[in-house]
Amino acid sequence: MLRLIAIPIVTVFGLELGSTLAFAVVTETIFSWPGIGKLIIDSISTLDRPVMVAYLMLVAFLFIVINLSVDIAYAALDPRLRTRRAG
Amino acid sequence: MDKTSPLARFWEEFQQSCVAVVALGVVLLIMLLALAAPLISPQNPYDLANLVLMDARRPPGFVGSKGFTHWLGTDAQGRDLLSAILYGLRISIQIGIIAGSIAFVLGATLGAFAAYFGGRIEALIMRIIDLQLSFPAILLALVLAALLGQGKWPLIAALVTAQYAYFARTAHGAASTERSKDYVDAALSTPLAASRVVFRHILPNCLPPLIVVATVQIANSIALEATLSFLGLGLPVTEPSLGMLIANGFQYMLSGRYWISIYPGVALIVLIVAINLVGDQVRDQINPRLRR
Repeated sequence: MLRLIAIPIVTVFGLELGSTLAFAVVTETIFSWPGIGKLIIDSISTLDRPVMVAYLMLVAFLFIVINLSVDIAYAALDPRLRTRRAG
Repeated sequence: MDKTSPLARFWEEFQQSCVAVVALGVVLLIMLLALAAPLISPQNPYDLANLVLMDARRPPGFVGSKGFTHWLGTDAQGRDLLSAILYGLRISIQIGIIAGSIAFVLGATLGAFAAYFGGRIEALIMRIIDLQLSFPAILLALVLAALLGQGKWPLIAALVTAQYAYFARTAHGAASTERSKDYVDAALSTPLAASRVVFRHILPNCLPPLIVVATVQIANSIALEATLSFLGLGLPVTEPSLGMLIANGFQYMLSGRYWISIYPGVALIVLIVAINLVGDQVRDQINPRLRR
């Protein structure tokens, strides 16, 4: 049963992982955690553009990795998506 | 055979959900309160001559030196929080509605034209929009707000950029199905300009799903604006929205002066939840699969 309903769960998991990453900015500002979100906020307030660009590149890369792993997970979970490759 | 107008029928169906009617009432009440803020708030919270520093950080129910009761307490400058929240709601709602409307017009036009033209233009527009949808709106708005600087219009521009993609995708989906219908073919067989066919024939029929997205996105842009203001990237200090009120009181949270942050937050949550409940009901009503 879990395998059958796993596809939408994996989709939502991927999306939520992404938005958790994005909202880390808020969380880390509130709790003063020295994470990547605090780094971007500090770099924005000092207009440190190289850090901003590097952060965006990193986040974009992470999103690609997350989306790719979600797609691979689909193939692992649903055999129908695997057979299409051969035919 | 009933001869009532579609709008009246829609309203009749809407009334069957008590929760949605109450939520609509709450939204309208909050909007009315925000509109009437200068008339009903006990104090103009941004007239410095009205503020008394002696009254700063007082708990809810405190009777200030000006003689009226601060029902929700006062903040670090001695502002009456009730008045500050009413003025803050005014700005938050204003920004949410302006940004939502611009995103609506822009996204709907883009999506409908993409569906109308098809081919390469459609592919180009829709891939750009897919690209934007895969990236969280808050990051985009964050960087844009940082690059464009502070102020009302840069913030609105950031919110619109973060949100038009949702409208465009919805409009594209609805317009693609309309595009293949006979009445569009009939309109195309006459020498009408493309823009006229899109705006007068296709777009009006795409409105129902777009309205649902609009309600949700207005709530979203209010929340996004509050987030940006909380982080200090939103509006300038002269135009304090709810997010800024929360940020101002945030440093006093752990010293027991909860009211400075909590009450603006409660106002924000009530507004957003109410708008979303109304949006949910409208969505359920439009969805033909849930129709009895």
